[in-house]
Amino acid sequence: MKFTTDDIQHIANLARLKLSAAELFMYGKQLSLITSYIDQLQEVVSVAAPIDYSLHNVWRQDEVREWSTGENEQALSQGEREGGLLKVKRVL
Amino acid sequence: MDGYMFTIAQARKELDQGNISSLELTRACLRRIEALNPIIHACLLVDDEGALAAAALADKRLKQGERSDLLGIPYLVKDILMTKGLKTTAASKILENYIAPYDASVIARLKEAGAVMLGKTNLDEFAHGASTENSAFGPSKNPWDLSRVPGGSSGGSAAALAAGLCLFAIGTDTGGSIRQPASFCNLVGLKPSYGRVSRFGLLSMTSSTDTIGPLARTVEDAAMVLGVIAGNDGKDATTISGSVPDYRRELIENKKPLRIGVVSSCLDSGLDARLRQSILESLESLQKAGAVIKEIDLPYNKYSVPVYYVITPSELSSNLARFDGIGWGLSSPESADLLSFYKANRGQGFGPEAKRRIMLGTFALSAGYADAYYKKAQAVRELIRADFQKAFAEVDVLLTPTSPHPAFKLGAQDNDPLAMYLEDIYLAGASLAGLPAISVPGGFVFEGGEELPFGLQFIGAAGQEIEVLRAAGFWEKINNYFERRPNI
Repeated sequence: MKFTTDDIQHIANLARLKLSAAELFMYGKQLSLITSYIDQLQEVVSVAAPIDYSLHNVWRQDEVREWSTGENEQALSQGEREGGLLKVKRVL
Repeated sequence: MDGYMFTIAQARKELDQGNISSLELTRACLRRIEALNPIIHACLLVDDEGALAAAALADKRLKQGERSDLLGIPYLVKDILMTKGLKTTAASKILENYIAPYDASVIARLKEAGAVMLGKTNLDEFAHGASTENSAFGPSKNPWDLSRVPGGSSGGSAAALAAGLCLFAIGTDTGGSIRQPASFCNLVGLKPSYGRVSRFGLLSMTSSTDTIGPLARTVEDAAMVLGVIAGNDGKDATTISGSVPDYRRELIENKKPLRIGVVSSCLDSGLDARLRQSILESLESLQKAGAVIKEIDLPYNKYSVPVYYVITPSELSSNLARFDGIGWGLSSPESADLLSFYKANRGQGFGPEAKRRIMLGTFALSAGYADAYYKKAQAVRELIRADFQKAFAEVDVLLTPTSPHPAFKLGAQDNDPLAMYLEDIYLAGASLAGLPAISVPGGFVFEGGEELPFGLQFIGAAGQEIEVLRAAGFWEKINNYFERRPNI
């Protein structure tokens, strides 16, 4: 796969990354190189479903457990607070 | 011998007999850190106060007659595991000032067992790399040769242990990040089976292959640490249920003959000729000592690196989406709207390799490309897994080199991401299949007037850490490489 600067800009937008012009150029070159190495997978004949491997779901009761207030405070105190809430940028 | 160079088993004996206290051992390590960390840059954080308090508590428990494997033993942990009240940075600017509100399950278990945490070690940012050169805070140096990398991503843990800053270290291994630095620093590095050790409190990279394990000086030490950190955890639904075997006892008492499979394609032209020669000689020694050697073919293993570098970026691009500058971490206030705020925080906060992997994963999962990349890689991953399953019907373990060469020079590969990815050539397969694997000291080569270590890898069937430890222990008994320490 050969990436143009526009391709890289599109991927960067999807990934929520602001990149400089120099970064766009560098990642274009590097991602082209890396994906052409990865493209050797196309030569493998494979089926989509797992061959012989069993996965199972793990369930537990949906119960409320107390969490330490200290830990809650420690977690919340690292962002911008307003009253008891974490302040975020306006979405709409 | 100075206490900081003890194996855990040696320190255990001295502590239990009252010849040394945990406080003395801890102080010896802290002094060693003070003297050597400015040179090798292995630690990102040292918690003197916490360590001395934990050591005093361990001494009290010892005086009361308590005896257990890690009681009073000082260790360091890779700075990608949450440690309550202490900075947890993942060596990233985006988390530079982040303080963990709780302990990872591994840390909680070690605390309960009475092990003494000295601090946090350096790594490639978010564990993306094979040299620690991707750390936002600068690389660590290899104690065997300061102009070389210690390997990565758990390179700080390996450099610290090799230089005697602690008695064991905790690392994480997603595609080789415990085994490769163990190989570069003459240590034992154990990657457990997927689900053997709880990932709760680990900053996720590749959720389907992330594992946590020990770097240790001997196989017995690795078994002792694994015994404490392994086990089912209600906070990680992927942990294996059932009891944890007594790894140390099995290692000492289980004398069943070993069947070792050799993957001949791992000994081809990609491998340093000096390592190949040495490994062929090692095979002869193993055979002489009574192991049965059998050649094994893993036809799909050659695709493990391309598969790994689709699966890993895909999963981490999703896992790292949570770092958006809201609630914690680096935040640039001047952005006008929410989208540019996200993009600015992430563009500034992540380093070059993290951004490269996020982009690669975003591409591999994007509309129009997911079938050709992500789904194709998952399908080939099943073939790799099936290869291993077939192999373990015939042998107990597989033997390969750990890395294609000894430690490389700092800066030698940091502009070539593909070359760095190929560091995982012998390592990624076991990760994709979720298998336990260990790197043990395998010998030395001369390079530029220096002696440099390299490792041998043993891979076992899923859940068979015991076989992997037994094979490594068997090898350790017929050579003395593990006893050698760097001159630092």
